[in-house]
Order: sequence, then structure tokens, then C-alpha cells
Amino acid sequence: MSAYVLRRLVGTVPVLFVATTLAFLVLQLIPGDPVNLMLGGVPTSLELRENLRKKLGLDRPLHIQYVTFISRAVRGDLGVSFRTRQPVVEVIRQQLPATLELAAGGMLIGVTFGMAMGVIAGIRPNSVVDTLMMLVAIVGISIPGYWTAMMLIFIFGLKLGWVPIVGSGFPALILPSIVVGSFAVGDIARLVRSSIVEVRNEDYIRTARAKGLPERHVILRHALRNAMIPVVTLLGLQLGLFVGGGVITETVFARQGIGKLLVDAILEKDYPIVQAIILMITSAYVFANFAVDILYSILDPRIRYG
Amino acid sequence: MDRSAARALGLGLRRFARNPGAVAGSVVLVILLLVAVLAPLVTPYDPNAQSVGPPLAPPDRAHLLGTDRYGRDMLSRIVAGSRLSLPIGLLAVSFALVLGTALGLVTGYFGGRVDAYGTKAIDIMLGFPPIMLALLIIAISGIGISNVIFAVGIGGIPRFARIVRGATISARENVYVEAARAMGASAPRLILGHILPNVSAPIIVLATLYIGRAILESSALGFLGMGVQPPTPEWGSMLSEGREFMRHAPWLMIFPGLVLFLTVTSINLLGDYLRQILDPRLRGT
Repeated sequence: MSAYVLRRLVGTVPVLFVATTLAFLVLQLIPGDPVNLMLGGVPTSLELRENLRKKLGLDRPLHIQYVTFISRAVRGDLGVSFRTRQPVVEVIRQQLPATLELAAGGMLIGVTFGMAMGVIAGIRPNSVVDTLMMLVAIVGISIPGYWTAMMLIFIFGLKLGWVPIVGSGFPALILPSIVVGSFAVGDIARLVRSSIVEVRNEDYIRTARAKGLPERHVILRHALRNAMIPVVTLLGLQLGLFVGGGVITETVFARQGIGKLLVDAILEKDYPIVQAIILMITSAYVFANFAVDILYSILDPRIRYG
Repeated sequence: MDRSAARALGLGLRRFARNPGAVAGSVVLVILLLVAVLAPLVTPYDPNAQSVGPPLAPPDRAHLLGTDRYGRDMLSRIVAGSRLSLPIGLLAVSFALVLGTALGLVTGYFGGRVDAYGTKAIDIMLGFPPIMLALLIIAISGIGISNVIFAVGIGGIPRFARIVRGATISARENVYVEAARAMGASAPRLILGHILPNVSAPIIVLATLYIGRAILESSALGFLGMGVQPPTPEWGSMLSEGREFMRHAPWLMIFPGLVLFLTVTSINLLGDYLRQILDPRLRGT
């Protein structure tokens, strides 16, 4: 087991290396002078600019800058925002809880509805219910997330007035969670369906039925538990979807959060923030997939020896 | 056409007709494509002409889908938008398809060290959440149509590469490849002439399904203000404008979204059908 964990851990290094390099290069590759961006177009003396350049370390050779960038990042120093002059880490810390809240809500909705739909469709493959469910799943992956968000705000917020469309707290989290969750519902439903169809004819299911267990029991305790294994993997891969969903959803609902922060930072050319968020989200994605791999190998020991 | 070919065609058509999703998807797509191609003839107004009607007028007989804040005709703008959204999606997928297929063919065919490095590269690319990759590209290269195509396409490269690599590895062992090699065919000839035609089915399926995704992603970039810029009519940026008038002129956000949704659904229904008939291995993934 520990050999497997170690092998997978080593596997994350190249991705993290590329992510750090890309994040570092953002500032080098953008057209124009970072010092100009930082000054926000305010006319300043040449001396002041040179001082600033020195202070930022932009006068040193590229490889030295890179080493400095990484060693600072490791110590949790990601520079200061061009716009607000606040430490980037501080800015992100303020926005993080809102994003985690939304991701958790989205995952809850995605998993609940996705599994329910998948099970119902999987029990009776090729029935009318199955076809309908699969149609819903296709619609789910075809609908633009930000449009779903706007339609929900329009119908349930503006027309019916059932839920608040701004503010904080649980009620304001309902609609955004539905939107983020809807990105995953279709994929989860498809996967659960095919898993259930597969395990439906296994011996242990027949045994469970033969014992006289109620059908509900057979499906939930016996079939679904085994069908869960691939779903766990999918959730790891879907983290990207939840992140992407956050970017769009936070913008539409004008919520606080990392996604909104990133979009604003790109549009305002606040590059230290862009660098930090790229680094943070990519690392989170890499480690989530790592955790899923480990979890998967615990659920299904065959993987470890494969 | 000989008799067996005619029978196969008839069988295929009957199979197609039995799949209501595929039929509905194709009908909608054909209509959309026709409208996009014939746009200048079928749009009632110049999509960028202001004050062709009163501003923010609800749908009526003169303006079937209403007008926006500058009094521009929404129907004309949505139709004009299809001439942008569809090609952007297609170009992004073509970009991903060409580079991803090349990478997959080379890594799968040569194996050994080439495959080891290629697979590593594919894994690293898959390690990035697609939307992050797209936003990163936009952050570096700036806002604009060609950057959107590049940003959306790049996320597809590893996905094509992975599937093509797998198919190439199994196709490489076939007797006809062996025979061609024994006759002295060069590697490029073997890859392009013998292997590529035999791995094209999964490529076609993935490409179809990816077009829908590319259209959604590029419109999302437009919506975030990082894609096509106003006043050019593009579905994503139109939806972003519509958001501001949600309370008083909801048609500004309902119709562009509906068309976008219909387009992508049709493509995905067709892609799903192609997946079922062309590539049973992909089923359930």
C-alpha cells in the first residue's frame, strides 16, 4: 500500500512543477511592462519605476526570479495585489469560505440527484423512465450553466420570490448550489446507471434476492454499494467542474469567492492574484485526484496490484 | 451501389430513424446550419443597426424576439450569433483534434520512450481543470476571438490524444499493418494510410461530443467578457447584456440561452447516437 501511495505522490510532482512554471510565466508572458500595470497608468518618474522594479526583483535574471517565486510560494508568500496592495494570501483567505460552501452545496446536489436518477434508470434499462432519465442527463450536460443560473434567478427569485437572489446564509446558497450541482448530475447519473446495469446480474445480487430481501434493500445495500466505486473516481475528476462552475456561478449570482476573484483579476490585469489562484486551484485539483486514487485503491484492492 | 451496400444503408437509416433523439437532434442542427448559412437572407434587420425598433420592446410581430436596449432586433442578432458561435466551436475542436490525434498516433505507434514521454505530457495536461487552462490562456494572450479558439481547444488536446493513443496501440498489431510494414512502407505512410483510417471512429465520436462542449465553453468566456466583444453579436456576450435587464426585459436573456441550449443539445444527441453505433467501448463513459 505505502509503495502505491508513494508512486502516486511522485506522480503529482511533474504536474505541480508545470503549474508553478505556468503561474510564474504569466507575469513574463503578458504583453507590456508589469511595472506599468502595477502603477495603473499613473505617470511617474523613471527613478521611481526603477526602484519599484528592483523592489519586485524584476531586474534580476529570469531563473533567479523563478527560484525566488517558488521559495516564496512554498512559504506562503504570493506577493501583493496590484490593485489593493493587500497580501494575495490574505485576499484569497477572505474569499475561500464562500467558494468551499458553494462547492459543498453543489456536490451534495449533484451526488444526490445524479445517484437517484442513475439508480432509477439502471433498475429498468431501456424502459421509458430510463430513456427519460438519459434525456435529462444529456440536457444537463448541454445546458449553459450561466443560463441555468439566470433562469433560476428569474423564475424563483424574481417571479415567484421564493428564494433570495443575493445575500449570504443558507437560503442564498440554494440556487447557486443547484447550478453548480447541475454540471455534475448528468455525468454521475450516466455512470451510476451503467454500473447498476452491470452489477444487476451478478451472483450476489441474485443471492440477496433469493434470501427474500426486499427489492429496495437489494438495490441500496448490495447493488449501489458496488456501483459507488467508479462514482468516487468521477467526483475527483469533477472537482474541475465544480471549480469551473464556481467561476461562472459566482459571477452570475454576484457572490464572493475565488472564481469571481479570478475573473475580476484577469479583467483588471491584477496578475499576482491570477498567479496565486492558478497555483492554488491546480494544486487542489492534483491533490484531490491523488486522494481519489488512494481511496479507490482502498475500495478496490485490485488497482494496487494492477 | 451494389445490393449489399444498399441493404446496409437501408439498415443504417432504419436504425437511425428508431432513435428519436438522433432524429430530433439532426433536424434541429440542419435548420440551425441552414439559418446560419443563409443568415443575411433570412434576418429581418441588420443585426448591428440600432433603433430599428423601440428600445427593450417585448416580442411582437415586427420583432419576433423583441429588441435590446439600443433598439436592435434580437432575432437578427441571435441568427448572426450562430455564424460566430458555431464556427468558433468547430475551429476549437479542429485545433484539439489535429494536435491531439497527432500526439496520440505518434505516442501509440512508436511506443517505448516516445510513448513514456507522450503519456506523461498527456497526464500533465489532463491535470489542469479545463476552465483554468482556458482562463490562463486568456490571461496571458488577452481577449479576442482567436485566443478564445486557442484557449478552448487546448483543453481538448489531451482528451483526443488519450483515446487515439489507445486505439493506435491495438491497431498497430493488426496483420494489414504488419503486411504493409513488410512491404517496406515508411512510418508516416503506415500511420496515415493504415492506422489513422482504423482509429477514426472514436475520433469522430469524441469530436462530435466535444463540439458541444467547445460551444458552451467559448460562450461562457464571452459571457465573462473575455471572448467576443460587443457590439459583435455572440450568444455568450448577448446573455451577459441580457442579465442586466432580467427584471424588465427577460427576453434578452431567455432567447439567446434557449438557442444555445438547443444547439448544444442537438449536437450531443447526435454525438450520443454516433457513440452507440460507432464505438461500443465508449458506452457508459
